[in-house]
Amino acid sequence: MSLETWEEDLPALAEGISEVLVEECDPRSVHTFFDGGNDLDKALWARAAELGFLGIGLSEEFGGLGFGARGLDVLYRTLGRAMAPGAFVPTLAAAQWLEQVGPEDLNASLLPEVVAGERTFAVPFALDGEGVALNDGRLGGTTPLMLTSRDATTAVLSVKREGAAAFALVDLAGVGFVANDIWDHTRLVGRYTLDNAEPLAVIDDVDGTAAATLRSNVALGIAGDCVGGARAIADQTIEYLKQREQFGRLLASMQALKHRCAELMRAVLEGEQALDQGVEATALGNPAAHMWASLAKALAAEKFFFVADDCLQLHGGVGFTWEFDAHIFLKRALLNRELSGNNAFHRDLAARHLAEADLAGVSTAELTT
Amino acid sequence: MILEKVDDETAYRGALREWLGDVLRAPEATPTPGDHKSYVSSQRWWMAERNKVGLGTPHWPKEYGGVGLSLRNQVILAEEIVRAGGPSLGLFTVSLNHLPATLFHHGTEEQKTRYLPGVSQGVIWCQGFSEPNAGSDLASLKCKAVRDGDHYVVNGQKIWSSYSMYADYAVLLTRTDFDAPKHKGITFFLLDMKTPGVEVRPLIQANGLAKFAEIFLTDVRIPVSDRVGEENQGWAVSQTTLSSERGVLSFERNERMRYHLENFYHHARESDAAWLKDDELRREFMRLFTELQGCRRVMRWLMKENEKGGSPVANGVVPFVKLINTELRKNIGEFMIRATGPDAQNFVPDFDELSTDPVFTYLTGLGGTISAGSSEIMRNIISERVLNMPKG
Repeated sequence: MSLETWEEDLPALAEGISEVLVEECDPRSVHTFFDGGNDLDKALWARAAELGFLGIGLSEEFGGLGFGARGLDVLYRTLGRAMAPGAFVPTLAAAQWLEQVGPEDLNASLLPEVVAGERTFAVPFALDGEGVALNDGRLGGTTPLMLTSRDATTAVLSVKREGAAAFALVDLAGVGFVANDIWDHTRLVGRYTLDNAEPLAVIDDVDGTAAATLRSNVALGIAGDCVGGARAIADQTIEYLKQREQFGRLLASMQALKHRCAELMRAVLEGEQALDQGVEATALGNPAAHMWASLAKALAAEKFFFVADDCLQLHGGVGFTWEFDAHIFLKRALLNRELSGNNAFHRDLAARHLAEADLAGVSTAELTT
Repeated sequence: MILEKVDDETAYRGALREWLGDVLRAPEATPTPGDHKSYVSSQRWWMAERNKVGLGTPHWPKEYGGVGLSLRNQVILAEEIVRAGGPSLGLFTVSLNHLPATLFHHGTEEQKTRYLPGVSQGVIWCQGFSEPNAGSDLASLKCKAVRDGDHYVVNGQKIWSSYSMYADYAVLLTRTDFDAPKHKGITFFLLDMKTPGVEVRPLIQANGLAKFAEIFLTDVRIPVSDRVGEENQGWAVSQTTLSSERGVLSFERNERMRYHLENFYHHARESDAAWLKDDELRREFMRLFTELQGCRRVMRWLMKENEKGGSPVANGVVPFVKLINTELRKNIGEFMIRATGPDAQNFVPDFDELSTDPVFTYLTGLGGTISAGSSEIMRNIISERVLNMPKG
């Protein structure tokens, strides 16, 4: 149950996406992918392209469905529920960002390729450092840590051009990549090594708007993954307690465990509410949208970890096995806390935003919608 | 007039602001802190002032003397009153919410005509439900009512009854059948608090307020015409009464908490408070700020759903709202104590319901996690009725 974001004309589409994922991204396939035994990431990507889901957030002029931030949110939550692997968050967050900050001609050539499933993006793991120096229009050396996917076609890099902040889009064909061997095998994180690469495009970011927008887009994607994942593992755990008997009774009848389940669902709902606020503020172009996106990411990631951790514990011994889903959700929760900047980083960003608003005499009532 | 402008939000808000700016200048708007008499007369004054502009019982249907104000416009009214720093109508909580919820559904025509119009004239009602041995397990109540001709004779004790020392009437739950299963032997009454045998003793709460009291009932005679519903059918009636403890009332309280948190932050910025430079405390504040906004969202969503006639999803959200809202108020108060530092430990003797003292805020929040269904009861309801986990 998500609240206001789902109230409009999205439910039918959400239902469609959910059906596809239930069928094609079932836990068994995810476990096999986790152990390197299938190409679920590519299969899902191809299917999503075929069904038009990749354009859910983009405008119709680029071949998209025009649902904007709300549409993307529905997709991210559903992918999170299914522990889905693939290029979704980095690609769709970057594509949406291009539509927001990129030049028209670049968008006209790149975005239809995203919708068709032919172009995938890698984005910075966290936009919290200095950009890479752009020398004579070219980039060399090892990139900062990136959130990417197998066969990603294009990297979005934070760069400095003559000392000024900018973003470079770099073609990744033939570029060396070293993956970090992370605990969460459903996602791909690593560094590219560029050899005097000439960017496809450079987008100036004198006032930091492009960086803030990309950061918010990725943050909302990660937050969507968090609330989807939290609800899925909480539901699954409560169902498990309704089946499992010990001491001659169902675990679900024990008050100590029932109260914990109530707290799990409260955490799920709180994460969802924070994200609803972030998505709504973004969709409506609220001036405080970046603040709400940061706050949503921090809270959703915190709640997802709390839920995933306790759900593993509530499963007991089987929860601790590689074969059960609980550890995959937990590892996704751990990675999500760090992605797009950790929760402390996001709260500090939001605090600066709030302080500026307070200084300007804007009340929190005006920051909310 | 305000009510003529409800169809145009800007004009409606404008009219409310004009009225509030004017009416809240009266000395009665600011009761003397710590002075109960001053509080009660301020509350009666506020009800009278609201009534003058048609806002005494605006959420009631027209047939019962209300104006059938839409939920959206009730929310705007609450927002504007809170924004202007106006008083709550705390003394009239039962009069405005529990009494009408009960009588609209279960009252006789005579009971409705007799009791409802008094509310906008300042008649105070209280609730006689809980007993020393029937708190969370309300259905085990033992206050005894025995039929005697056209009256019932009531003996027993009630507790945690807010403002009963000022109340003119009470909604009362009694046991009329001690042999039936506990939910099937309860009868619901309307009690005139001036009836001989009614004695009220105030209790001082942990937050320093003497808001609730014990009610002792000794051979109290209640006419049969003041019974609501049939004999032994009172439990179902009481569920209607209790379901009214939500909606705009909690929304208004939550809005006050939002202003309280906002002012706390604003003053911290103005005074360059140390906690703003403390990473842990500042981040904790941002988390509470997020959670409060989430709580506002879910409350607004729930009110909207309920106006449409509710839904299974909406019903499932009700216990979460109580749990989230009250736990959050407690946590915000507790945060304010740590952020304020040793100064928060200073006891400020003269305070009232709207005091922003950190310890008072925390303790009042703590009280909220106990009253009207404790957090533990909410967790029972969530697990059993929403998550369908079996009873233990």
